[in-house]
This record gives sequence, structure tokens and C-alpha cells, in this order.
Amino acid sequence: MITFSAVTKRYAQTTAVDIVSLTVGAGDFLALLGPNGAGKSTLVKMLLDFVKPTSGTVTIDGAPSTSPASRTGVGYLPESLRIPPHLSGREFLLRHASLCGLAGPSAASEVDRVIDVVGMRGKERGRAGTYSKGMAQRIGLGAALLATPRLLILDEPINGLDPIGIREVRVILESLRQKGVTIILNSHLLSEVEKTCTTAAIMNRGAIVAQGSIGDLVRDGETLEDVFVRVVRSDSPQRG
Amino acid sequence: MRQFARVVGYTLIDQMRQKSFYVLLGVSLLLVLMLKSCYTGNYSVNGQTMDSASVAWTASRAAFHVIGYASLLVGTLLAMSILRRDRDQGSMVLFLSRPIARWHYLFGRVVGVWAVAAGFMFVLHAAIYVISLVSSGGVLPWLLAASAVCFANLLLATTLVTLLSLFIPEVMAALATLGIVAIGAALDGWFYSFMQSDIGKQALASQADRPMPIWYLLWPKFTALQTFAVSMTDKNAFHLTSGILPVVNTCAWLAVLGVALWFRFERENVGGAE
Repeated sequence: MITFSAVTKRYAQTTAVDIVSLTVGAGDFLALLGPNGAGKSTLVKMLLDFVKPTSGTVTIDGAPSTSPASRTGVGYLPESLRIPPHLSGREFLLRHASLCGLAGPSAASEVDRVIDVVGMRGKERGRAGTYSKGMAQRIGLGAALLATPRLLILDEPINGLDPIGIREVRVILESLRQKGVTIILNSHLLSEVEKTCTTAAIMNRGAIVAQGSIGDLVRDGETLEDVFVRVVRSDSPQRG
Repeated sequence: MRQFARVVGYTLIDQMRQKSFYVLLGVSLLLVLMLKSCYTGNYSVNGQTMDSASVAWTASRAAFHVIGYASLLVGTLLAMSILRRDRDQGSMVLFLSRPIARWHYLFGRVVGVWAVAAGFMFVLHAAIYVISLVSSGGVLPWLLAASAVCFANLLLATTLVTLLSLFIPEVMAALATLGIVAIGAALDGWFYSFMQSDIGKQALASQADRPMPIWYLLWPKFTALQTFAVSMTDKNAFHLTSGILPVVNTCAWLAVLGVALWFRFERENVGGAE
């Protein structure tokens, strides 16, 4: 479904992504892990054409990521979501529904559906400026879920959520995975990643240093956190 | 194009929700309404009584210019931070994560802001039109068409400041844009006044074979276009050929700046640093 072919991104003095090749199959639930500055967000930004690769190509279902059509059926939740404060949650979702190609009653009913899915019924008409971080995050997740995406890209989706909200998000993502939606998750909460994701790619200093199914990566007696620390530490002196 | 129209619509709605816009429009309308008193005054110059309608119409044309420049200021201030605000609010990445081309988003924002500024200007110009109709029973002919001609100035200013804001801080971009307008006003205003003087007419006659300086021809003709627009309201002052340079200049600058803006934004990294 998604193919990164020898993708590199250089800024002035820094190589943010260093010849990364990665394939994400349809229906995969991939966790993109790595320390701060590893290149995870840059990789996602190249996927969404927010950033142009210095070299290499990125495709979604064979279409180049630079084409707007490649983002049809893609839902994205950024890490630092801020909804324009003068909009209500419902208005924000209606805008995104229309940008997804929905209109009129179908947009309204789809917005109502995602409002119920993310648990914001009764609060959707309040101004976003009055929302807590968790409420805004739920609306943002709702926007990503509009029009039943085939690819979902989530950057720290449980940021600001209480434990009940975290569990609800886990249930939502699991149901989407069972429906065959491809999910790319960027999160530092490795305990949650271990519960929800099927595959993981660990990045360090712009390169993928480990990838595979969670079951293959995590040895007996280890947690995903142990794997993360082991892999990153062992990588650091070698590619100095 | 539907995505482009949607972005224009969202921009219009967001701008029109700002209370400050209505305060500014209300205050401006009150100031324009003061023109009404010009129609009831008694005027004399060197002992000769002036027709109050003529004086009022002259004052109205002057107000037209003031509104034009004020609208340029409004448009510049609205446009200078449109991209930065989207970037800070995260709206830019949310828009561009959808199946929408970058130029749909970019020009949707520019055109939306332009439409707000143009609407602001048109309402005030229409107020002049209504005042002249109500107060004197006559109308300033072609005034509303002249207002529409000035829409091009607003689009040029919003495009320019948006482009500059991609390179320099937005306040500097706004000051640079207004500076270009001011220099153009000084050049065209000075040039026009000079050409009306005896010395200027002699100079024009003696320099008939020499072309105008290139830098003068290339400088954005905000004031010249506005002057041409105002001349449409006075059949004695209107010369179609006097509009050729400002119209061609403005259209050329719109094309160049539009392409430059598109080219630059296509390569812009959005979404912040890693």
C-alpha cells in the first residue's frame, strides 16, 4: 500500500531521513518508533507531501505522494492539533467532511457518526476555544476518521486523553484494523503500542534500525521498551 | 476547483466572524456619511458661488481615493498573517492532508482575503453612490464600476504581501507592500502634478521622442490605476488610453507574482521541523 523507496531528506547541515526503504502493506498496523529527532515525523510528512524528499520516492497505492489524489481516503491526526477557536467541533468536522468530498445530508450524517464514535455527543456544538486538550484530540481523531479512511496516520493520538479515552481509542483502532484499514502510529507510549500494533519500525538518526512484527522484535522476557532501548543504543556508536 | 471554492468560502466565513471587521466597517461608514453634509453647504471661491453638488462630487471623488488606500491597508493587514496563522493553528497541515492541491489551498486563502477587502471597499464606495443619489438626486456615473476596477489593486496587494510573508517576517512584508504603494503614489502623484504645470508641459513636448524610464514603467501602478478608475466618474477627465499602462502593468504584476507565489509555496515545507 505504502512504499518508501530509498527516501532521503536533507536540510542544510542535517540529514533527517537517510536512505529509508519501507513497505507498509494494506491492513498493516505499523508503529513508527524512535527517539526525538530520529526522523519519524519527517517520514510521515513526506508521505503526506508536507515535505519534499531530497531523493527517492514515496507512493500510496502506486500513486506518487505528491499527487493530491493519493490522499483520497487518508485520515491524519497531527501531534499538536489546534482547532480554530472560533469554530465548534461540529463545524470543524463538517469542513473536513466537505474536503473529503462529502456534501449536504451525507456530510452531516457522517459527522454525526464520528461524533458518536469519539464520544463527543453533546459537546460538539461548543466553541473549540472552550475545549480541553482531550476534547480537541477527540474531535481531531473524528476528523481523521471521516469518510472511513483506507489509511490512517496518527501522531501521538492519545495525547491529553484520560485512561478511559485511551481505552476507547484502542478499541476504535482495533475495530479499524479488523476492517482492513492500514494504520501508521507514531507514539512514545510503547506500552500502548505493544497492545495495539502488529508491526513496528524503529528509527534512529534518520535510518530504520529494526523492523518487523511485534512478536518477532520482542524476545521472551522483554518488553517493547527494552527492545527500543537496546536497538537504539547499539546503533549509536556503529553509525557514528 | 471545488476545493478551491471551499477554501475561499471558509476564509470568507472566518474573516467575517471577526468582530473587529464590523467595528472597522461601521466606523468607516460613519465617516463616509459625513459627506452628506457637503451637499447642503454654501461655497464660494474668489467671490464666485460654487455649485454645492459639484463641490460635493469633488469631495466624493477624493473620498473614493481615501477609501481605496484604506482598503489597500485593510487587505494588506488581513493577508500578511494568513499563512502564518494557519501554520501556527495547524490548519495548514489539516487542509493539505486532504486531497487538495497546494495551489487550491494557497490561492483559496488569497482570494478569500481579497474578497473581504474588496467587499469592504465596495460597501464604502456604494455608500458614496447612495449619498450622492439621495442628497442631490443625481449619481456619480460609473462609480461602482470604478470600484470594481480597484479590485485589481487589492488583489495585487494581497498577492504581494502573501508572497513576501514566505520570505520575511509578516510585519516587514506588510510594510514593504505599503511602501511600494506609497512610493507609487508619490511617483504618480508627483508625475501627474508635474505634467499639469507649464514646465511639465514644456518638458513633455521636448522629450516627446524619448521613452519613459523603464523603472517607472515597471513600478506597480496602484495609484495610476485608482486615478484611472476615478476618471471614469467624470466624462471630461476620462481618457481610455490613460488606463492602458496601469491596467497592463497591474495584470503583468499579478501574473508574475501569482506564478512566483505558486512556485515558492509548492516547495514550502509545511508542518514544522522534525
